Amino acid sequence: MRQKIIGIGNEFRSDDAVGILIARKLKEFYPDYDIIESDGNGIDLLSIFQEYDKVIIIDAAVAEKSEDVGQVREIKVAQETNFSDIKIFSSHSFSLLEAIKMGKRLSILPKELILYLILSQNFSFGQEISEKVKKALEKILDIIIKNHF
Amino acid sequence: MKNKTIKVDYLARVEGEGSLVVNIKGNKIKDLKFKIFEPPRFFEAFLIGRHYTEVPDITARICGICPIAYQMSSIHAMERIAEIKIEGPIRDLRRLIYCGEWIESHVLHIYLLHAPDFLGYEDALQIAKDHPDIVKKALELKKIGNNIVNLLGGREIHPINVRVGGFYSVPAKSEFLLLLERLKWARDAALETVRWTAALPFPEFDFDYEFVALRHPEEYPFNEGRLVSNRGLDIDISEYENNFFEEHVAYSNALHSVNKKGESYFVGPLARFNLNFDKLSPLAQEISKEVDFIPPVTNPFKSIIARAVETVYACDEAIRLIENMDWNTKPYIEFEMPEGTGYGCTEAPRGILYHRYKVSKDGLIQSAKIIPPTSQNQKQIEKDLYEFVNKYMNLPKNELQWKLEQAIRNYDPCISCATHFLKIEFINE
Repeated sequence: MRQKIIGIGNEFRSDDAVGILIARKLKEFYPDYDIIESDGNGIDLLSIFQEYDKVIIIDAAVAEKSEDVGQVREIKVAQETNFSDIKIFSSHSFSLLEAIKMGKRLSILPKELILYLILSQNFSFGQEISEKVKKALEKILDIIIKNHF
Repeated sequence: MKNKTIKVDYLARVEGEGSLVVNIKGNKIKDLKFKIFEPPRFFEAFLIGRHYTEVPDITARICGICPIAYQMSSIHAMERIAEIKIEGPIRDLRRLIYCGEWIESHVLHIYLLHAPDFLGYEDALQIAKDHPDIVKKALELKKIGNNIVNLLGGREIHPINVRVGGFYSVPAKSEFLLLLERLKWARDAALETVRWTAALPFPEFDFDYEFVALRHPEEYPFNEGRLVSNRGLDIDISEYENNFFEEHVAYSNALHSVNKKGESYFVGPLARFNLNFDKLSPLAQEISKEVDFIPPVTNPFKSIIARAVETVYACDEAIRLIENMDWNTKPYIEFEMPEGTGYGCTEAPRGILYHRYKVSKDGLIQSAKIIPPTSQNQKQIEKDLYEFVNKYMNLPKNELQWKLEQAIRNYDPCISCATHFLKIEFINE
């Protein structure tokens, strides 16, 4: 089975870096595994969807309420998964969510597509990550290592 | 007369933050502004003090879609200071990576960003619903461009393998040979794309433009050439700043570029096509003639066909380069870096991208200037919108608005960075 792990984000946009940092850490622990960093360009994600049986994506999502910052949502994407309540911070006009919608429509989603979304609020320019998001980073590392390696 | 305001809060197929305000009073345009309110990113300032070898990797971060162009313009500027000329296989590999970037960028824009306008769809998701095979083909085609950039650029995003003097390493021949068969498929798919785009409905809208592009004596331009225009411009790129100027306009965070007369000019695929048709490969010329797409083309809405023709060219050129490559090459050449000022101008997918750097004797950057194609096209975009509103003022409101958004996308503007908003506001007094 072909598996790929993708950490999405922008390391210069504060909490948005979390996906990238997790991918980097995992790559450090498992240099031989297929783990990449991505800027979240949806079209490129679609190409990946076509080629893999299992794709795990880690990304920051927008927290509507400040008390939700640091929460982690694990979503196993299925044909019926609805994303209406999720907002992703993306600099691309075609982002992760569009890629998933398009992938469903073209029936090219991988057999297993798992998202780990870290709810965050600070997407301003900078390289500091909020404390709560840092904790979430550790938690996701544990979950991924336990479940997917 | 009643005041009317129309707002489009989200235009998903433009990268960056921009807005358009149209104010029509009676049958006259009272005001029209294409505003870019993307925050300044200060790249030119924070390059100062960095070592010249770092510049390509820093400038690559300016654009996620055309990082190669940003790397190449800076590299050529540095090589001009060092007075080195890259020839043979390294030069060919540079052309090859540029082919990859053009394929990626053009296919994305043709099928997923611009085609929905012509077909009456809100977005590419809707196209996928009715025509899944078209979208699947586009994805496959784009992926081949990605593969070339990844292979030579060293990784999937933010390529890091190109350097002043060449490449850090050259991938194995076998990896490129694996691409050949797929590139041949891509070339056929690109030919189909030309036929498909040429059959789209185009509004009647022709304009007397000054087209500006690089021109090279032997080849369709990627990295090198003189700057020429259809109005007699023919200069070395070091003369760029004596012929083009940047103006600040209060309502835009991106500077407007103008020619010597203070007028707008047009850069990008249509400009390249019009000025370099004779340098396209025979196949690319043939398909253009087949669909009756022959220069001069002065309808900006037909830029989508120029992109498709350039995709054919990029596939064709990539095949030629791979088949004729001498793979026994050292990845880069050695050189000494003196102090001095250097200029680079290459053809990014969206048009000419100009860089200038002053380097100290320690190899540190003392000043930097970067003029991307979108800022050069900005004034022209605004002018097109003005002319379009003037000509089609009586179209139903929704249709006019739709066409104006489409007209902006003719230029594939990469306003870049942050979120992506285009607010369009009509004020009908």
